[in-house]
Amino acid sequence: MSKEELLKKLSDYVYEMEDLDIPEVAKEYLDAGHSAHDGVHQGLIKGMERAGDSFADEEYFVSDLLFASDAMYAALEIFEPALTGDQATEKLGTCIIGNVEGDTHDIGKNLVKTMLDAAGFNMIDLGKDVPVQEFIDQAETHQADVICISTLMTTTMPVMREVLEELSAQGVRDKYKVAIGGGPVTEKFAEEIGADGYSENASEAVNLIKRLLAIPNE
Amino acid sequence: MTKVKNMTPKQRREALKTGQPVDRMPIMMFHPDYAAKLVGDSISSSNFDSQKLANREIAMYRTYGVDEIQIQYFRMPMKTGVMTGNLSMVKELDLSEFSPENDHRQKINIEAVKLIQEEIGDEITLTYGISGPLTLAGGLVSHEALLRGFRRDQETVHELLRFTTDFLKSLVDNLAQFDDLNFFIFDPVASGSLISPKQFREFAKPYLSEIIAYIHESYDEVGLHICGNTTPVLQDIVDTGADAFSLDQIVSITDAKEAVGDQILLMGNIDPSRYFLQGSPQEIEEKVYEAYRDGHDTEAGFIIRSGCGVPYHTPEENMEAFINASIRCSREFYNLED
Repeated sequence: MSKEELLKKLSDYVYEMEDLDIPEVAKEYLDAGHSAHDGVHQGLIKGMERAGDSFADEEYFVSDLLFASDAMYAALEIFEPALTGDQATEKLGTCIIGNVEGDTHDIGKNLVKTMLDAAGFNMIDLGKDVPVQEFIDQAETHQADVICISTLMTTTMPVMREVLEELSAQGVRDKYKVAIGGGPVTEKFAEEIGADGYSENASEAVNLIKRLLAIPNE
Repeated sequence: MTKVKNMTPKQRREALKTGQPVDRMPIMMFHPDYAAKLVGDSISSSNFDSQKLANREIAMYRTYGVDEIQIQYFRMPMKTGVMTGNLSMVKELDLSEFSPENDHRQKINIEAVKLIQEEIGDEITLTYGISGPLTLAGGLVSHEALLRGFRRDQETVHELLRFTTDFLKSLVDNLAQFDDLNFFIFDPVASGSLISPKQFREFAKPYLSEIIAYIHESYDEVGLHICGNTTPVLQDIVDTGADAFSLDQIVSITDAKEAVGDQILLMGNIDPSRYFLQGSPQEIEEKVYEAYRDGHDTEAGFIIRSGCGVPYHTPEENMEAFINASIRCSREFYNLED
């Protein structure tokens, strides 16, 4: 198989959620001496982007995105040792991401993380039920560009406001872009609490973060 | 037309069933969180105290005259060490561990039902809200593990759903002392935003149908709410045997009415976050008007309702706007006398 055919197969296997079979394809690709960087970018990430597009078109469901990301990560494990030196990808930026304190619904947050990861961002995932100060401390530690905050519950939406208020109180608000999302969250709420952006779903989140950081879409 | 005033929810329901005049149409919402605020409790403190649970529902009824009050069972207790976020422990699940003696939630709820029925049971039929089999399953093994199981381990997922369905039957049995109850099933994990129609038909529908049929052996009414976009599975929802379907705000009432409005009573669907929580009273009035405009001629019936849970921090004036607009619009659209 040619490099192009293998890249197509990697993309297809992510898109078709073949998490059990994709490692073999990744090995075959590396054994043939092809660039790991290309394999990730022109194969895996392309497949994940296709899955994201199908999700935006309502052809794919959350469950499909989850399975596609399983396939992507299964192949990434094979590629990672080969991604050294100039093969290593230059990241577009660093994002802190987590569900606010009191919220444990993290499927949506995980999908946003996956899509941003695939798009080339360095993702620091704080998990779910994350205390307000933790977002700020981790953003400082990792010199993050963006803080992404998620909740699925109206009861914990006020905690998002607290994160913004604390960032201001501690004099670091201007160092970060803050993006929020999750089921009950709206554009209006984002404006009201002074967040920089809101995204309705995981595939839109990538465009949002790129826009916030003024990164052009290829 | 005969002028009727100040009917109780029971009288109103009975009149509607028999084609008699009513004072207004029923008003319903998913209000437990808001009701907790109404009586000055936190959500968690009132959830674990029978008297507080009863107080908040009675207060909601007395304050706003709502036509539905609920005691809810949403999540099975996690037995430490049994569930580890994957499907491997499903075989160890044991129904006897979830008897009312061991399961505090059931015990608290049964007490709360008694307290409410003593106080206002002659005016309103209490609704017992339960999670659907799929949602209980997700709560037990984690939602990601459940979704992955759809693809890799259907057999274990079915075994788990067998368990949660049997559990729900036992929960219904444990309520046998109460003969005047309605039921409402919440199945957010069966959401069209989360799973595909094919997965809905395989993993949600059969078990929902089974538990609804089981409840119908002893009780008249079983409502169903599924979050997210359910447009592609509306006919399947009708097939489950539910008596009413509550639409999420992202589903068009008109579309639902055209698809299944001749077969099932529709409820909906004022956006809880966008309007109850963040909207103005004027916006709520507009949305209530639009909901009645689109829904009132549903052949099998229409009831105004919130699209999902009404937030704790909903401003009082928004709640009042919802109630007042619902009364006004229902009289307007159904030609009822003021």
